[in-house]
Amino acid sequence: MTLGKVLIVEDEKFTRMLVSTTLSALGFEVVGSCSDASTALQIQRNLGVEIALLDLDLGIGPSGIDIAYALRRNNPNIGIVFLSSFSDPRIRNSDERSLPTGSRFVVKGQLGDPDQLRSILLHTRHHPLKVVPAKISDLGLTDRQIDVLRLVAGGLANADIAHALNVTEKAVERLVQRISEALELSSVGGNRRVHLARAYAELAGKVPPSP
Amino acid sequence: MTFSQPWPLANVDALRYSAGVIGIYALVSGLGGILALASTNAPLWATALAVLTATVLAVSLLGLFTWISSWRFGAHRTISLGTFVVVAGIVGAVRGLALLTMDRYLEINATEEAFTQVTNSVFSAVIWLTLIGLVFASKNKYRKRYQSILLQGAIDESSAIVWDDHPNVIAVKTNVAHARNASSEKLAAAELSDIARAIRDEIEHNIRPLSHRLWFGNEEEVPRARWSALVRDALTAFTVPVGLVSLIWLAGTILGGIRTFGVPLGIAAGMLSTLTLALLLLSVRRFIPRTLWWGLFAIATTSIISILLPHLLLTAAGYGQELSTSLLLTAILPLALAALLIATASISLAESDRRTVLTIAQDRSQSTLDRRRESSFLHNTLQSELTGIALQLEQAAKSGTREETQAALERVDALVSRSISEDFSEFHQHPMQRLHRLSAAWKGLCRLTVWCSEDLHDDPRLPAAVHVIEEIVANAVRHGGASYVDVQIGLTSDGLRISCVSDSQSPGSDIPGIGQRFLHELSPTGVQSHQVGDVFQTTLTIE
Repeated sequence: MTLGKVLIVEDEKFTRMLVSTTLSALGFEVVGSCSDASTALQIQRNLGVEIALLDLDLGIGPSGIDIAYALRRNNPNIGIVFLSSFSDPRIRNSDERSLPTGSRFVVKGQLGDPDQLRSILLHTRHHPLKVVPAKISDLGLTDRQIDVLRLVAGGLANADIAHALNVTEKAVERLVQRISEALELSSVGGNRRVHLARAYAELAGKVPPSP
Repeated sequence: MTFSQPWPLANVDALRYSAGVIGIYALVSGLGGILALASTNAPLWATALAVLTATVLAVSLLGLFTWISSWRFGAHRTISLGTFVVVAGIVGAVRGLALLTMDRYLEINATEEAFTQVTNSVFSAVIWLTLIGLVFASKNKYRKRYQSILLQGAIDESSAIVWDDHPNVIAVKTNVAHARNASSEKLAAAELSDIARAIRDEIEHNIRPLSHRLWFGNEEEVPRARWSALVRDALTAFTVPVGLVSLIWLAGTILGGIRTFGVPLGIAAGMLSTLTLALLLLSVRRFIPRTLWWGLFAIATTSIISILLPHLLLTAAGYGQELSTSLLLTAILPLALAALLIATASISLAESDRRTVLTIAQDRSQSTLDRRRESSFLHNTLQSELTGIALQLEQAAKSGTREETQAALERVDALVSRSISEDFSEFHQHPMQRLHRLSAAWKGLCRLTVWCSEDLHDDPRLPAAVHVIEEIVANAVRHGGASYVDVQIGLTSDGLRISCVSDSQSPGSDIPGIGQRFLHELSPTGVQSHQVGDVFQTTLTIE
């Protein structure tokens, strides 16, 4: 008797292996692990999946959210859990669809204990559509502010951001100011845009390895 | 691959006369004029009028120059260093002549010699406009231009790497192979742990730093870069070219020397002073510790010695005069020099920060993405695999299981005999390969079919076309629920034409998102979308 049939969709081989081993040790049956949509759907069709554990960013092509929607279409009661390095899915791409109903979003960096993952997976399996208040709004940034943050991190000047978002440069300046305040960077010395870019990198889990 | 620090003053060629530069120059010029004329007994109104007239003329000339360049080139114009010096010289000369004329006209009697007045103004204008320009050049406003220059540099650097010949990669392979060979006969637990440790060392000392350098492009660009380190380098490591500093110094000291000793001795004094400065700077470089305050002290001391030594020598020889107030004022020049160095260092910092922004960012340049993929490969794939092997070896050392040990060693063997270049080639995909990968990635969610004539496979616009297709497919599936997207890439007289047909139900929201805007930017002629029955068609042309 296992705690549930789990599918892992993760593009990093090592993480996939590690998560798979951990979940097996926790008592779940890992029916398959893959990094692409077609294999994920095939596993779902052939082996039956109760919980899907997906990475958000899978490189070129569909994201984890795209695959989650496809899995949900085939099985409306499948539990969906996103395990990502992004601290907020909007940081990756604000044009992305919202997370499927009832899905849980777990930040890799904040996961300290395997038991935590077990409870989340179990809860999702039993209540796949139950909306759990998300903690991702802790950032206190609106979608528009996240767009601006991403573009600032992209090295774009205010004028370019204003052009991209179809707003005035003054509005961008105000947004940048508010983002700095929300991220508590307004009083930090040095180049504010660099601090914002670093903040973005941290939020996106993209901070490279320490030297 | 070499990691050399870029020459900070390369940014000088991007100096421009912005409103800020003109404004600060007006202030400096005004204050300088007041200082020059205030020591006389002339009425205050006369001094003020003279200074105001000279400043207004100089500033108007700068404004006129900016206006002409904007009108001629339709945008803010980058000024080459040669043009910059000539224009600054003309501005200074006009200011000096105006000051001189007003001085005579209003009978202020502040200037004894016309030549000195004009040359001082020219020198002051060149020095101050350089300083102000350097500081302004470090501002975000000019970041974009540096971005393109430096990005190209980073691309060249990255593309020049032959991976299998890279010392770090060779070191990884060699050391891991040694570790494997050394323990292939005797599989004691301690030795297995040693191999694991050796692998971890390789990760720590070779792979991780290499990955880091690729990510940031240069060791100097890590976010830990600090003001003090940059100023220290600028002061003692001669990041700032001594040549430029010496030239400015030579001009200043010759002018000061002529004023004090006359023309022939003044030139000799200037040359002696510059030689002294250069020699002292070389000594400073060798003996002064590389710290900020010592560096500043060293620069200030050597500058003052460089002025005082020629003066004392010439005075002792009977050619000079008493140490005058004007000569002491000239000693303020070291401060200007220090300011120049600090301004230059601040540019280095801005440049470093900018690179950090650039490398962290999701840049749209394919080559930068490649560089980041390489870093990602080293960090995620190679490092992960080595970490996995190290873990397996440690596990084998604990359990003593022969099978586990053999499996781990086989993995090591496979890793060291593999060509890293081949692995990297996956990351340098041809646009068509990328399209195939894209098609495979969407399989199961959406059937993506692409038709592209072989003649277009090497078209330089194809990478941009791939980005466009990625964007269109993502939009069609996410916002329109498309189950298929058929793409045709063809050549027209206007450029590369991309035509996409899908069963997407809606083009998305009325307000175009960033992705949509990206499409519009790539296709200045516009993106045409039509819904005919169940078929949604998008057409655009990349010039």
